[in-house]
Amino acid sequence: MKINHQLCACVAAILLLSGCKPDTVEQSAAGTAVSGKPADLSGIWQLAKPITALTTTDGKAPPLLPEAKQLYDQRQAARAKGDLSEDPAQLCKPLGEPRAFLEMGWPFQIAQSQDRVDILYQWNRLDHVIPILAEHEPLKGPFYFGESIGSWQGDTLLVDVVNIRPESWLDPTGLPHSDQLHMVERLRLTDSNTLEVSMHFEDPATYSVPWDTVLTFTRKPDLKIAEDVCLERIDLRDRYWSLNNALKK
Amino acid sequence: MTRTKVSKADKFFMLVGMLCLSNAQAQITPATEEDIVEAPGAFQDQLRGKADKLNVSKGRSAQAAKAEANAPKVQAPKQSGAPTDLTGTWRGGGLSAQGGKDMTVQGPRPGLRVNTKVETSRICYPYSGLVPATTTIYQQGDLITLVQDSQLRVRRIYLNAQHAQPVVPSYGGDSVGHWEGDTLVVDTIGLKGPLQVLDLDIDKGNWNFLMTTPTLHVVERIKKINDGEQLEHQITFDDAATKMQTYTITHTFKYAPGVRSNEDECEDASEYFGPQYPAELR
Repeated sequence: MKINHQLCACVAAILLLSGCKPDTVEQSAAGTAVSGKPADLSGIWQLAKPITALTTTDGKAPPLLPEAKQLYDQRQAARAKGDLSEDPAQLCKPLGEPRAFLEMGWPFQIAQSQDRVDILYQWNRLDHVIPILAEHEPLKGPFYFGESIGSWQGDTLLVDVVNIRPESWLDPTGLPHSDQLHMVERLRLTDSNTLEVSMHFEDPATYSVPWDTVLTFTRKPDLKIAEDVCLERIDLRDRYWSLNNALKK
Repeated sequence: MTRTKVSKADKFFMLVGMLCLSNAQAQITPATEEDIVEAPGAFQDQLRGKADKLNVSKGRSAQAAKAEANAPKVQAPKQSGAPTDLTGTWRGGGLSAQGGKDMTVQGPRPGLRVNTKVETSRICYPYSGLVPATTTIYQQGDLITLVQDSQLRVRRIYLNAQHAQPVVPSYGGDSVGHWEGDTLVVDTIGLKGPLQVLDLDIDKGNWNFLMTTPTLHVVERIKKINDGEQLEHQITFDDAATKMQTYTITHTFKYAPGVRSNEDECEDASEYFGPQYPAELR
């Protein structure tokens, strides 16, 4: 019997390759397509270095449109004079993101399960709830933290945020946005103790072009989130100032 | 340096509506001038101007229920069968019109301050989260986190740890815990502020507050029941200094994956009842 070696080689190759399937995209229990396993982002995190004013990834000021720049300059001028009366944080209103990531350099906790991620801030116990979902639902908002949905893209948590209240500031300096803002956040570990949060902003009513920024956080395993009640803190501060002023007279 | 004008009073009482509990159905009375004793200046005008618009019979419970109904439907995973895994979202049933069906009490009721209308000693200050509001539980190592979306209540229970020395009083208290078989036992001290206690009076529309003392001691026993579909939460209060007799309330929760409450915006006084509040009442 003559053996066709070439045919055997082809058959062997076919049999071999048939066992090499491309990575299949698994469906999570939440019905969201995922690739690979989610990373574990849970833990206590804090800014690697304090940031007050957001810049783009190439270190420039965000590309504000002229009218928005005017508003921003007004806010800056007020801050320079010590006038915080227009700052929503002084009224203890929810900060939204990314300002909550930056405020006072305070830490936050990420808690996650298969169908939900919570970013729990020390600042006034704010909570950014991120359900793992495939599509936005038509919730009536807007919301300070927007309406968020999350999905895992490999080891990165992708968070899509819309329906954001325009009263919030993007950072403590007063960087504005409109109700058209669409944010996309990408959270991933660059190593076991470093969390990188990349943020993409699209807001044609406020910015001339979309822009990006990156924030880096360090894991703080020995740090406990303290209880902060903003109204109590502001009240105590104002009492101190009142007393201080009274003593000066 | 220009500062926001503030009041001088030690405390301010504002009666502007219902506290942020997702299933509560207490009645609300409108805020009156004498109710608004003191408030930060930034809030006073808002409260006075909007006070007449805050007289809503169902208040936040209706809005919260609507928010839950509108919340994205998630095909969430079943609760794990592991007896020491409490991860998931649990909806408290003890506040429903079923009254005592989802809660029981034992022992003589302590000197609770009963209120037939909402009384907030400090509006938007967090009442201690020992109420059966919708709760999401996370477990990571020796840290168990209980998140109640309403009123931004977050409690952290540190397993196999000792209480802080000294304890700094807080609304959430200082909680340490350990497992006894399949039961999570939590020991809490260092509570401050009025402690909202939802017991059998809730179905009469009464809100009860236990005034905390430096010696108030709370022990909770939390475990899954009914094949992991329910959570039993037993809360026992005692206070050696006041000689308060042990009082125990037991609530049950149902596993409710995907349910979440409205974003809490309590500090945003002009929209106190959340973003789904009817526009005409804002």
